[in-house]
Formats: sequence, C-alpha cells, structure tokens
Amino acid sequence: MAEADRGTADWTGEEDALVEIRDLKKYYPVKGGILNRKVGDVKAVDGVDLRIREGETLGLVGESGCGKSTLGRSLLRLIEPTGGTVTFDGEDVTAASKSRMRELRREMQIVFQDAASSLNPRMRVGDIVAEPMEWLTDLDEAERRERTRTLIEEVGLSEEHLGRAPHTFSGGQQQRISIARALSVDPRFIVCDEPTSALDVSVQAKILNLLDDLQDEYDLTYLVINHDMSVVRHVCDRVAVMYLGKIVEVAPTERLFADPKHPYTKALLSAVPRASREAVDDRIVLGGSPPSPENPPSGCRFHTRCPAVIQPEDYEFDQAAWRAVMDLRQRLDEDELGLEAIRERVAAESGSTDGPDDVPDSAVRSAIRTELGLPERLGDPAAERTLREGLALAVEGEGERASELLGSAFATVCEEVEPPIETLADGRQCACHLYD
Amino acid sequence: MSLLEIEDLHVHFHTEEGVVHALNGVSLSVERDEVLGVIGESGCGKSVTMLSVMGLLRSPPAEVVSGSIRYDGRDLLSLSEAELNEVRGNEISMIYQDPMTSLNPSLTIGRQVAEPLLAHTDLSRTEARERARETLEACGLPDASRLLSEYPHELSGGMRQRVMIAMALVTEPDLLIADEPTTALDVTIQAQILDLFRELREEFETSIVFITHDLPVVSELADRIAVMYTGTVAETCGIDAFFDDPRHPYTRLLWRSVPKLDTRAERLSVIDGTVPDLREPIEGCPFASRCPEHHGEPCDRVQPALRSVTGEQTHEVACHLYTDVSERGPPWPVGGGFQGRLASEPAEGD
Repeated sequence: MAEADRGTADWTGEEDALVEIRDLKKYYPVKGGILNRKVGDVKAVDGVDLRIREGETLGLVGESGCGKSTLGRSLLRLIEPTGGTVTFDGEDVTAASKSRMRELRREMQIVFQDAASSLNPRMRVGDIVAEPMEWLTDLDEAERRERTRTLIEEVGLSEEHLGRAPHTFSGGQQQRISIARALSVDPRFIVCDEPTSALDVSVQAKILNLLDDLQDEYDLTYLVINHDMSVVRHVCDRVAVMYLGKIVEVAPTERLFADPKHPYTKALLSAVPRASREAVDDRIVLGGSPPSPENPPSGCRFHTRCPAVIQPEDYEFDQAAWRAVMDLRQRLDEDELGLEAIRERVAAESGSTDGPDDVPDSAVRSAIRTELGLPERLGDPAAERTLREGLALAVEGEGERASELLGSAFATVCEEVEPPIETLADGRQCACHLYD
Repeated sequence: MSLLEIEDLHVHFHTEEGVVHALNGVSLSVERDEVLGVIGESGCGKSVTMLSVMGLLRSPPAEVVSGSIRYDGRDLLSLSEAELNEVRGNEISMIYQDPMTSLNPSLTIGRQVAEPLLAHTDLSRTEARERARETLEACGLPDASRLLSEYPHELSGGMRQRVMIAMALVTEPDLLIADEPTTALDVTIQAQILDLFRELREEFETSIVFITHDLPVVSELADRIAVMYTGTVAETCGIDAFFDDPRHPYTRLLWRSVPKLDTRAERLSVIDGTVPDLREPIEGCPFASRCPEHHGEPCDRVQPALRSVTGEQTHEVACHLYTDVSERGPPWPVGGGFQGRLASEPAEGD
C-alpha cells in the first residue's frame, strides 16, 4: 500500500479481503491417566476472525503461548485446524483437496523465526532456494536456475553464495536465504513468523528494510507475527492483538499505539522499555503470568489479570482495591491462598515462641490483606462487611465457602460473559465489556 | 578504588579453525552501588568478558593472553581455584540468560537456592532453607515455603528467572552479573523483572553489571553504559550522555537502527558491512571497515585507545575523531540533543 497510508488507513474489513479467517480453532488434545485417554484440550487458537487485505502488512502480537504462531501455521494448513474456515482470494483453503492445496502453496508461503533450523544443512543454498519451484511449479531446470540467481541477488546476497552450505552464513544471511526460498514460487501472501527475533538489532533493521522493499516490488501481503511492539509499529499497517487464543483488539497501527483501547493492549504497550529517560511511574505492570490455555478463565480471558476489571454494580470500590479483591477470589477458587505459609510467617515474625497454630486469626487476616494489597478497610462499608465475612471463613479453613460467598456477592460481568469482538465508533475492533 | 576493574584484557580461543581473538583489550570498571549496562551485538565479547571475571572460561580452548581483573583489590586472574571458589557465588554471582537450562531439573528449588549458602557460610540446612525462603519472597515469589519443595519444570519462565535471581542474591553478593536476564521473557514479564531489579538494588545495595543487546531495556536500569564491539570497549559514559551525547560512530548508528516505539521512521538505519573476522588479529580501529566517518590511515593502522573526551573520566571513547593521531574532529555537534535530532533527522547510512 502507499507509504503515506501506512498505519493510518481505515479499514473495517467490509471490502474484499485477500485472506479471510473465520472462527478458526486449533485444539491440541491433552492425554492423561493410565489409559492415556484424552482428558482435555489445549485451546491454542479458539475462534479467531481476521481479515487481511491485499497489499497490507497485518501485525499479530501477543505473549508467548498466546497462539499467534499456531494461528499463522494453521491458516496455511501447515497444521490442520480443528475448526473454522480460511479463504484465500475467495477460495476455501480449509476445504481444498491435497492436490489443490499444493497449488495454493504457491500463493501462500511462510518465513520462520529460526532460519538456521529451517534450512537443510546438507543442501547447497542454490538447491534450497530452487526446491519449492521444483515441487510446486512447472519451471524447467534452466528457468529455475535463472530465477534462483535473480532472487539471491534480490535479497542482498550474490551468485557465488549459491554453492555454499547454509551453516557458513550468519543469522541475517540465513534469514535472507529463507526469504528467497519463500519468494521463489512467486507467492502473493507470506506469513512472517518472528522473522527477526533471533537477530541483532543492526541486522534486524536490514531484514525489515528488505521485507519492505520486496513488498513493494512483488505486491506482497504480509502477516507479521512478532512479540516486539517496536518492530510491529515500524512495519505494520494494522495490528491484531492476541491473548490466550483470542483476538482482543484490531486497529490501524498508529491508532493502536496512540490510543489503545483494550486493557491488555494498554498493558502490553506500557510494558515496552521506552529508550528514554522519562519516568516509568505510570507503567502498568501486570501481575502473574498468562493462565494455561488448557483451562482458560471464564468470560473474558483477561479478567484474572486485568487492571480495569469491571466492578459489581452494588458496591463502590477503589479500582486497585477491587483488583485485589478479585485476586483474593482467584486464590480462593484455585485453593492457592497458602494459609499455612502465611500462618508460619506470622508466627516467625511475631518473635514469640508461639507455633503457627497459636497465631490469632485476626493477625492472619491482616497478613492476607497485606499480601494481596487489600487496604485495611474498604471504602464501601457493605463491601467491607462481606469481605470480612469471607476472610473469616477463609482463615477458619472454609476456603470453599469463602470462595462461594465472595463469588456471589462480588460477581463481575467480566467473568460471566465472554465479550464479543465488536467494531467501535472509530472503526477498530475490540473485545472488552468496557466498550459494550 | 573501583569494586571491579578490568584492564586491557585479551582473551584468545584456540579452535580448530585457528585462533579467535575474542577480547582485544577490554577495559571496564564497576563502582560500588552502581549499575553498569554492557551493550553490544552477538560476538562482541560481552559474555566472554564476564565469564573471565567469574573464572568460568574453559582453558583450553580459552586463554587469557594479557590484562588484569581486580576485584576489591585482589587480582582474580592470579587466584587459585580454591580461592576463586570463595569469591564466586559468594561475593560475585551471576544470572544467566536461559533460566531453564541453568536450573537443575532434578533438584528442588529450595535445595538449589540454599546451595550457595551451604557452600559459603556456616549456616545449618534449616537456617539456609529459611534464608532461601526469605530471598525467594524478596524476589516477589508468592507462597515461597511451598516453592522450596517444587521443581523448576513446575514454574513459569518469569518465576524461574526470579528463582535464578534469588539464587544469585541469597549470599548477598557485592557484585551481581546479569547476562541478558530478560531476553527469554515476554515484555509484560520483563517489566516485572526490571521492577524487581530496581527494588533489589535498593534493598541489597548490590552493584550490578547488566549485559544486554537491547538498548531500551538497559537504559531503564543502568547508571553507566559500556558499548562493546569485537572484543573492545568503544565507548563508556553515563546514562544521560548515552542518550544525549553519544560520541562513537558505532554507538550513534546503533541508536539509529533501533525501531522506536514512539515514532515511526519511514526506513530503519542500518550499519553497512559485517563484523570483522575475529580469526584475524585486529589492526587499527575494529569498526573502521563499517564506519561512515572512516578517514584513512589512522583508522586502518592504529587501534584507538579509550580516552576521556569531555575532560571528565566518565565519558571515554575509543575513536580517532577524538585522538591526536588524526586531526579530524567529529562532524556532529557534541554536547547534547542527540535524541531530539534522532527523531527529526532522516535515516542515514543505508
């Protein structure tokens, strides 16, 4: 697309898309028990809708394990999706026969993160670049050789490199070779899966510039999977943010960076080191790690870590205190309050000879409050009463009842209803109850 | 006296393909209660330098050809293995990049975190275990008592890195060397770990050497920066000068090639050429073949020494633009405002 439009152009996805992903799912079975039966699923990709327009670069960002690479591979059917459809230029890829799929591979290619392991160490560079043409095109050997020579120069290497083995090249050069290989069949769409993550910054810059040049020259459409937000900002027209198997926000790059809407996008952007000396006081630091995709949280998957999790209507909380209440509920739900450890610690800190069992319950309750960052007293007296009741039950060892009590009193829409991804007034898409 | 003082360190590796000149005269110092950020791309020698400090280079193939490493007045290179064992893991400790491969998968967290204490102090097992629990807690790990009896595979990447940090801090070392401690982590977890480093620095008053290839990461933490290139130090300066007044052409180009989160460049700057082959001894300035400011004979023939450019010891540069060997001076304005220009100037060097 025109350089000037980069990252600002609006696109609601109503026009024709080159790649259209609908409700795509990829589950991996989890086996266990003595009979090694299936006991559950890891929902790596769980119902993703995404449209990629011809000529654009769509960025796909998220933390490790969020399913972004699985999405990239299952949309190319390098791994078979569990459900959903992918259409390429109007044709259903997921329904294509084996022979048709082979033809489609000419149109859709991939560049992997780890170039070294994606290049066959026993082949010469010339054969590596020519191999896809041999399998997927009707070009004869002379034509293949000619095209290989053109491509190797196109990616910034030279003809004399063709006879060498891949291990004699640096990381950046190896990535150039794998880009030449992807280009050999003249594709229209390339999935770039962390193409520069293994490279040094000065080499990364060269590869990103190369991808940019090639896009102009060959009218390519890219899906760039990356965890580095600065890279995404630089190369992408639009960005999709993924969390735990779902897309949470899609927006033109400039809009996403200037004004992120989804609380997860905000946290992700805020976590990026700034390369400036300005204070990092307002940084949003998310607690904990992403939950397991085997057993994702109910409702909005981000509600277990979300700083902006919505409060119940009947009470009034300070937002930080409300987050702490949610954390307490979660610890109770998962039976991970660590009551014994807290008792032991309180006993040790009291300095007396009392054992952990002699510690007064009130001291344990206040230790729990301190550990979770709950204020000594909540602002809302009604909420405070309920919280005290819950804490008392928890300290008496009635964790389950405490969990039920707090769960029914302090319910939030975020844990109950999964937010659909919706188009907001400014054209972006976002899946969050704050914008219902 | 500096806490750690490395002077003119030369290290060679004797390999089947010849002698690799890994370090070609590294001089660095770390003051007490200071965070030194060591920056450089793969192969620049940042890890080799720190492994030499720890006495962890395997010899052969490695050989310390010349130079000295003084820690707290003692010459580490002349210490016996037994004497060195008293220092490392106790007074100096190290955190490695990949927490999965540097934790023993078959030992509990408690055993591993307590181990340095059992090796270096007279604490009993119970006392060591209690100290381990406290340190894990200080590193922001909830439910530390339970963690003591868990195994590394039961933890997430961020938690494992916290365990590594706890293990390094449990003896309350004076110097902590962290080799790319956040590189294997996601940004949100990286933010937690950087926060932790800031807190721990306050709490334990430890000097930290933070090795990374990531300029933005180090700039959040470091007081002073050393930029390394092919086994030499190209520039060392305070964090403010690193932002506003970088003097070495390599430092300036490195800054330009970093994609910025706040602004969008049409095109990223690149550094032309490739790193020289370290199997050949370095002659002249190691950056000469790629340097846009290359000016002939002096650059090709004489290796520039690291010398002060501002009259203060705190800003030193190894570049003939600032030496007496050549008459040429730097073509850019010195004395600040680099970042501002960086944002407004078009890309160079491509």
